[in-house]
Amino acid sequence: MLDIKNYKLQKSQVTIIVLILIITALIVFGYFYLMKVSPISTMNFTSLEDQEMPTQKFVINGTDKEPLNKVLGVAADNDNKRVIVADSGNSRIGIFDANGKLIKYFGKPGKGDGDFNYPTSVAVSPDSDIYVVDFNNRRIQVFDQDGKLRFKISEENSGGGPFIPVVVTCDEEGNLYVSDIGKQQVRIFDSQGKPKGTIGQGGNQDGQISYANGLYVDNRNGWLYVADSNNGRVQVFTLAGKFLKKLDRNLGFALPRGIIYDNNHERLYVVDTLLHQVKVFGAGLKPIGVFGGQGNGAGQFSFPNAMAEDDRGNLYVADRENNRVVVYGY
Amino acid sequence: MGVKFGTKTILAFVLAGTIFFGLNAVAHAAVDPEATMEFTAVEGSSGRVQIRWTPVQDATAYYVYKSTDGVNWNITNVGNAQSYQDNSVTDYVNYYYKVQATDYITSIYTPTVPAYPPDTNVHGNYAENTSLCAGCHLTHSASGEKLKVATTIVNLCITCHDGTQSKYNSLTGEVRLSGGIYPAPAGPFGNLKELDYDSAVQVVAGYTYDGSQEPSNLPTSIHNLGEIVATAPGSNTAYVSTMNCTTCHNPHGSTNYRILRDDLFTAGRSTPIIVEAYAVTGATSENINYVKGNVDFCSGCHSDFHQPSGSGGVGADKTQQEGFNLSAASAGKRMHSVDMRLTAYDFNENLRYGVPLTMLSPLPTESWAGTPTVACMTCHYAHGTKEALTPNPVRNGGQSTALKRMDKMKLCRNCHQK
Repeated sequence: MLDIKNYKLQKSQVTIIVLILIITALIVFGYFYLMKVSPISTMNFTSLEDQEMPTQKFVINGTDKEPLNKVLGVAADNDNKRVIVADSGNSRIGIFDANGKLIKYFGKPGKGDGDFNYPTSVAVSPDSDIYVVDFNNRRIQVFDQDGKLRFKISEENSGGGPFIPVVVTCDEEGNLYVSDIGKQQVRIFDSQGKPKGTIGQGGNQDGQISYANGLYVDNRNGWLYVADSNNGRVQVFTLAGKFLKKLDRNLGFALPRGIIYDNNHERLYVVDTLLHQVKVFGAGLKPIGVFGGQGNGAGQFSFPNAMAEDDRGNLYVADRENNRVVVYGY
Repeated sequence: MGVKFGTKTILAFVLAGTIFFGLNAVAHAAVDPEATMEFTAVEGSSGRVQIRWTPVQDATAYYVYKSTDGVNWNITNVGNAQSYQDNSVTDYVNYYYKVQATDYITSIYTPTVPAYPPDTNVHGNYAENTSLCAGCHLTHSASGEKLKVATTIVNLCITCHDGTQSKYNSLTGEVRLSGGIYPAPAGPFGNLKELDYDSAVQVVAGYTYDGSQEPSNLPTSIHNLGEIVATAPGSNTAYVSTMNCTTCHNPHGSTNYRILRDDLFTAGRSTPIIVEAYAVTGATSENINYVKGNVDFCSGCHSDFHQPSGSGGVGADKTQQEGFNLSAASAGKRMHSVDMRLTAYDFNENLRYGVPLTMLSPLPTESWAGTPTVACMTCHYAHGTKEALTPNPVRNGGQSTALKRMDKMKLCRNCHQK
């Protein structure tokens, strides 16, 4: 029988134990590295009280000489710790630092390469490329992180027209998901702009959409959240396009547009433009509260349109008629 | 052994039967000719339109009529249900429906309603879709009058009508058709960048065009939002409300073209304003079949300008607009007539007018008189103009392109070919 008290580890056995620990650590951190998730933030996950709502931290409104005008889109550039803003009324894109200070604007009104006419949505790829929906020019322009144009997607190369993009988001591989109100469906493109497929079709039945003004890819679950705006609801699809479930108008939506899903807190945020608020849904997509409200004061909105989150827990709301981005946090 | 009936007996039976069935027809419950019926829902989906309407007592059948231009109507369904699903529609084509309730003796009709598949028109026909109310109203925490979610109507409307949620983009003046996006008949409002407001008033700075900006990007004049109605050119009202989208359009729907209000400053009138027109959609253009009512509508604000044929040669002492008197500013003025028909003039006899048989370039006219009839929209856009670049003097002493359809005096020469 083994005498545990007097048992002495052999040198080779110690080596093996140490190697197992090292390999285990490599596997764990390697997983988080490949999944691009910070193990520290994950391990420090803070649970929220059921009804706890975020509060305003600060606002982004440009500068006195160059203020924002009609902000329709916002996105977080996590790698560079920046905030990308669709300055729609000025037909340009604003890049701000983590504290909301302007780094630069790029673009100007027009229809040439790098120009914009009423940009309505922005997204940032895992490689920090900036996707911009150039609405009235009916195209998507893709820029590198410095604002240099990489390529465009328009009717000619979108896989069939008419192509009228209004909102864009992306998944963890950089595939673009675009709400196309020309065909009333979600169009999918790879990171080089090549068409890959579609989701949905026009209508008001389950699985059909009408002027969807919000998209969010939940990479963890492989789901696509769609703010099905004209139908006054939110729908959930698999990334392969299968309809899963919906949050219907009887949950009090007036006009759902912006949408994000926070996997860390298991919360779905839906921007309701005409109610000037963000509706919050918790586990099982049960409604748990709202924040915002109409006005131009702290934490208030005037026709909010889009929403984004960064990897530090900040929530960004494009506050259209207050010409700003409101930054919330817990 | 058979029974024989004499001629008199047979005639008696026929007479009795005639009297019996005649009385029965008269005594039979009938559709009330004074009853009304209306649509309760008009829902669009891809390749499909669903319509529902109120039941009519004693109607034995409902005939559903369908048109794409308001002129040519076809019966698309006959039945006794109060609903119909039309699966023979093309997306981004406008359709018009009306329903006849009949007992084959008396008939009544719904108003005509437009449908815009694959969209559901959120303006009007709320009876079965009351959740649409929540789009613009709040019961206990509204910010605007009449329980509106917002105080600022223009911002509310352009949430959708910037093109992100409607086939009509009022800012760029474009419409979504089956072939893509094309100019819409009303013209653009532009990006309203100058829009600035407090909680009570919206004001848009008037556009000025000095020739230095790209004219295709901005209209050179718009139907100025935020201006007080009483200051409109040719106005003789005391209305101090500021102009916004709902000044002209009824967001709850109306039977008029483009849901134009039938109650536009109609105090003193005996009848509502009826504007009949139909937007006929092609793949690349939306052509309007104007029938009647444009002058009556525009003159709800610009009442002084409702002048009859010949008014260009006579100083005005009244207006044709029911319920209005001529303002002092217009007394004695010669003003271009409206509602006049373009008939075949002998050029020599009418040399001083020089009105030809046809216009150099076709402009919109109405058809109510049987011949093309000039109305306000013949010369002016409703929302904004990018075609007129050169401002001319206007009544208030300023300069404006006045929403004209052509630059400089091309508009005049289009008809008066001097």
